[in-house]
Amino acid sequence: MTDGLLTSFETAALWLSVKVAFWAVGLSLPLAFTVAYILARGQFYGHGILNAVVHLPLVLPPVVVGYGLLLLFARGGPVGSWLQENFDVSLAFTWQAAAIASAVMAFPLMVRAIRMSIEAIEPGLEAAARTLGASAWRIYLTVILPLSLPGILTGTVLGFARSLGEFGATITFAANIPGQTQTLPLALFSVAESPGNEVAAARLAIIGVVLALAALLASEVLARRLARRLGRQERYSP
Amino acid sequence: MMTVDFQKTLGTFTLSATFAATPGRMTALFGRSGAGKTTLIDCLAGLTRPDTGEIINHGRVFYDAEKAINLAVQDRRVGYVFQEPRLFPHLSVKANLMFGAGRKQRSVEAQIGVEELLDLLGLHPLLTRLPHRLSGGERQRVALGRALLSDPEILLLDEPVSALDQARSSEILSFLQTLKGRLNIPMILVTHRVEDLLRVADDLVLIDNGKVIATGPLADVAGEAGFQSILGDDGAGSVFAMTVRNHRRTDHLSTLRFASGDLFVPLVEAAVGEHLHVRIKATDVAIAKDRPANISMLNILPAEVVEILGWQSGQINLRLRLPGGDVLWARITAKSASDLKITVGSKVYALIKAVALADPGILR
Repeated sequence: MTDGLLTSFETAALWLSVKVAFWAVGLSLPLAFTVAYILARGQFYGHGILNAVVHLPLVLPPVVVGYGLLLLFARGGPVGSWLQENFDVSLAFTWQAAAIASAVMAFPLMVRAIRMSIEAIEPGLEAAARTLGASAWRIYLTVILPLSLPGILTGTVLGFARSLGEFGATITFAANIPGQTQTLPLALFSVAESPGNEVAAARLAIIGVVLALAALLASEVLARRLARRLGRQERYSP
Repeated sequence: MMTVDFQKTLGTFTLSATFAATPGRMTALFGRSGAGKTTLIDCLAGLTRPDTGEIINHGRVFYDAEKAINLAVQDRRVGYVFQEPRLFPHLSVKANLMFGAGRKQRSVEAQIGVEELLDLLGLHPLLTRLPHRLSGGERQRVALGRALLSDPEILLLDEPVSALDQARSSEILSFLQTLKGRLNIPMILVTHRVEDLLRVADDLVLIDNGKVIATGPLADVAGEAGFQSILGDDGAGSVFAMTVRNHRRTDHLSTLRFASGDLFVPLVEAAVGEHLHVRIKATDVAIAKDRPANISMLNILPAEVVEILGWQSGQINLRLRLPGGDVLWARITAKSASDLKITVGSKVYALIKAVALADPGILR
């Protein structure tokens, strides 16, 4: 039953959580950066609407988000039937569904962090780069992207943490299947539901705390290095 | 040659710019803050789009409203030094300098090599540093080097020294002075400080409230009433282009020559034959009806009153024409004017104290 320090049940939940969080953040990061850039620098009709839509998962009950995803991705749903017809794939109740649920929930936090970083970039730098002959792409890659690294880092850590803790949307959209969609919070929920499992529940809780602490410390170290390089006083850790 | 002729309306403000800038010369856009100077060079750089007109540099059309041409900023080959250095904070000085150097080399390379430019600007010891480790003056030198290394076909300088202290700004200005002799492209300097103007400008474009009110060589435009009003209460005066004639080291004096005669000034650090601009404040000029004898003033120039302008209570400005045709402004009290019976056409003598012409009145 025990696998070194952790039980196989705990190991499965831990690795599933990390895998889900990793994919959730990895998938939404490029889109989050693009949306953050559009919100930070774009002036267009519908700016406010886009901003509101992006922030929706932050204010809606997670269960509502999960239910909405379920409707979209279910076999009869618009996205679900399209995936079924073209790729013969069904996402509902799989770990990929857990990753999508986490990605949607983490998205506004990531956009906010990255947007703040982009807004902190002196707008004059882009004009200066243009007078030096740089194309829009080159400015994006050599000026905007490196200078928003602190925000990308913060966004990644926040998104990762949000994914690790995601419960409501995941359980609604991906269900609570051990070894498949049962991430740490879901496992803790299952264990705590049945009486006499206080020790097992406490162990899962501690694993969650250690994981979150490790992520925060790692981001702190990276943020300090970045800040030193840019000669800034502010700290970028969340 | 760069020819500029365009209009741009921003809200209730209309900028209307018509002038030409000659390669190898420093053309100063001079005017009060808010006169539209920065908007003007932003239009030249392509950062702001004019409404009508055209901008052509050395045969290349930057902007032509009728032909619907608006060349992108990155294709204009402008070297733009902004008021603040705008260095890329995550890149070393070297990477900043080389940011625009990827462009196909055309003109500057032939005139100033990279090594020489780094020497002139004293950038060698700074190459590996990050911008936040530099002083304000160092940053602006890097910004200048970066603009020049991008091999521009026109150099735009927007108040490049206004944020620096006296010593640092003096450094940059003497570099610009050196640069003029080496660079055969139009150079345009935006400034609101008459000191900067006297140091480096060859030609002047006078801008007031969005309109170009005078253009021409510095000493010519400096005589205009519009220039006087921009200079304001303390600054009003005349500017002359002069040549060093000789030095009288024992008397600690130099003689400068201009079209209207010779002028004694405290010894200047300039070689005989060198050209410099001399500014004579209106308040440093006194007027006499007859040629005075036994007087301490070394500089006595015959003049004719061509215009009398009321200044403020009890004071008036006299516009004088010197024998060589130069314009000299003098400010005297209304009482002296009436005591001396000064009217337009009066023949007078302008008296200028040599000690009033010490630096920074004289600037190369």
